[in-house]
Amino acid sequence: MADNILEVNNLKKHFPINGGIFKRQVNSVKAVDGLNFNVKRGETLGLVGESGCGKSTTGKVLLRLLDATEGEVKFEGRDIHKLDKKDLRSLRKEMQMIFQDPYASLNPRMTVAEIVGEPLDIHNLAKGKEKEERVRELLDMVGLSSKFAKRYPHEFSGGQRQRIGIARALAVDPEVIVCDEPVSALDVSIQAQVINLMEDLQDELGLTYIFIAHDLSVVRHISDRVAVMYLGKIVELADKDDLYDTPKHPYTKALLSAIPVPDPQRQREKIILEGDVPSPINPPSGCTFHTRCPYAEDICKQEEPVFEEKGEDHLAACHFTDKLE
Amino acid sequence: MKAQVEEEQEIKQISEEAHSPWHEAWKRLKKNKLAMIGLGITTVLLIVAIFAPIIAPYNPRYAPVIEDGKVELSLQGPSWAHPFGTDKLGRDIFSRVVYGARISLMVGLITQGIALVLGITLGAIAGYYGGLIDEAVSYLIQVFLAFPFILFAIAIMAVFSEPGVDKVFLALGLISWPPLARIVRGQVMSIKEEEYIEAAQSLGASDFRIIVKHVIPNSLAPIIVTVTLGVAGAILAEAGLSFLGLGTQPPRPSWGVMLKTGQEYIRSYPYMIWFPGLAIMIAVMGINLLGDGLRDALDPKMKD
Repeated sequence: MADNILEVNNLKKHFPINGGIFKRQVNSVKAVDGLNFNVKRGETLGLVGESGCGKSTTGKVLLRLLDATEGEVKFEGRDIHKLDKKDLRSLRKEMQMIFQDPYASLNPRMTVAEIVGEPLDIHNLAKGKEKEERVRELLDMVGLSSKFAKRYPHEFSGGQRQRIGIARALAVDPEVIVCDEPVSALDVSIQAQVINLMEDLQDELGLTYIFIAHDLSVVRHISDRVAVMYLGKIVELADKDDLYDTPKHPYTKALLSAIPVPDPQRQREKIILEGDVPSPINPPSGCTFHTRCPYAEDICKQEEPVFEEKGEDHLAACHFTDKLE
Repeated sequence: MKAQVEEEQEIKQISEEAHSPWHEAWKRLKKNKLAMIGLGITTVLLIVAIFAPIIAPYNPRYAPVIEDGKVELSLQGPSWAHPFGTDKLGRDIFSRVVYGARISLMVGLITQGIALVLGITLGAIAGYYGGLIDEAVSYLIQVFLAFPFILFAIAIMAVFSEPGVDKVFLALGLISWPPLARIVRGQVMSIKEEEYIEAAQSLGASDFRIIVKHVIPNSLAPIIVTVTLGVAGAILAEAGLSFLGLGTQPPRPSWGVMLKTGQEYIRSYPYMIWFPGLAIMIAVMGINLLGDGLRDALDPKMKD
């Protein structure tokens, strides 16, 4: 196997629900419920799934913006959930995040230069003239003129703001960037620009991306491998072409069938999933997808399918993968 | 990179100069007539307070020494020489009102300074960390707010054996912080959920840095409004305490003290209380108008 920059083992994040007179924990929301995957150095791993399936929580737990309930996230062999405060700070230089909403993720009271320069201050990377120079360089890298360094975020468009966010993430020279739906708030034409920028930066700087999204065509474009999440679990993980051409999980298949095709003549088979996503407070027994799965049988209600190889480097968790073909 | 060039041009069209959020607020404030009147009154008050020795024609504390020990200047009505008249000791009331602005403003600013330090610190800590600290601070706020303001001030002043203006600073400062702490706490609680706070955390910023650089600058608007209105409240409270004899002590020319000494002569020489009374009213009204205007100007949802 290639060099794994990130190894995730049995990662869980449960949010407690407190109730009753004594505010005891009565239940929990199982936002992330046992993830196992690796991220290879220099690749882009796409993470897709419906709203509320735990994609964003996964991103935050990967960076330890949230503490994991269980399991480990190993960055270059070290479990980041066991780091002390000081080591965690230096980890922030290695792993960064690009946020979904470019309007909310920039402090409205800070100028662009202050926003992009803040990580340099925090980690004492550059001061004075050197810092100015570095900020200019970063803005240049993301295609913004340094002329606008003294402007405030509200003077920029969504795409430009997202570029500022990218420049901020790049300031510390990170290895891994978790991108939490970085383009879903942008116009389609701007999406392409930002995606292209991110690809250029990846080539230039050798970045590793974890790209969280719900837009399957965007994910297919940018990712090397894709993981599909359903109710806090990864149900399928494979090379992108493999996954898009021969899905091994009925959920993936249903998702793919919902991608709009820009050709009115072409007829295609659409799989309509019945019902809603079950509550992550009380996930269904066995295979969590059995309530909506067209292939479900009794075994699916009782036994949780193993997340295993169904093809070369193609993992899926389903009892009836064979039936799909 | 053609798109980039286009984007740059687009930005140029948006604005030639940088517009900070404060700049926008100032533009809105300028359109508000009442707020500008308030700002005018507040500015005059400031100028009068700062340049009191130049503006006041007479010594506010002592009457001019008269030959033969006669107090000829005592209890004169308004005239060209004494536009607001003189009091029983022959002191020029105009000069006393001018110096009174100094005391009032000092009380307003110093008490609100104390309230700012206490209120922001406690409010920010309670809002940011939540949990037990929050419950403790919130409880303290409730207890403080449960007492009527002026009664609380009287109670604290009564603890000191000798009342005086310095004790007024302390007493009013100690009881002015709860409303501010409550507002800061609420602001911090809502702002800490913003994505840019999460962004700062992911950059490795310390809690202190996040509070000082991200949370407080974004909650400045309501803080400014509360403090401005607080200055007016403190001026009023000082006048009240002094009127009751628990605040500033004679011969210091506080407006409250002047009201107190003037009330003995309310029937025969009512001008003695007109002018300090008017001064209190105009100052408090002006600052309140400014505060209300600031609230409208700084509230981003009020954008026209």
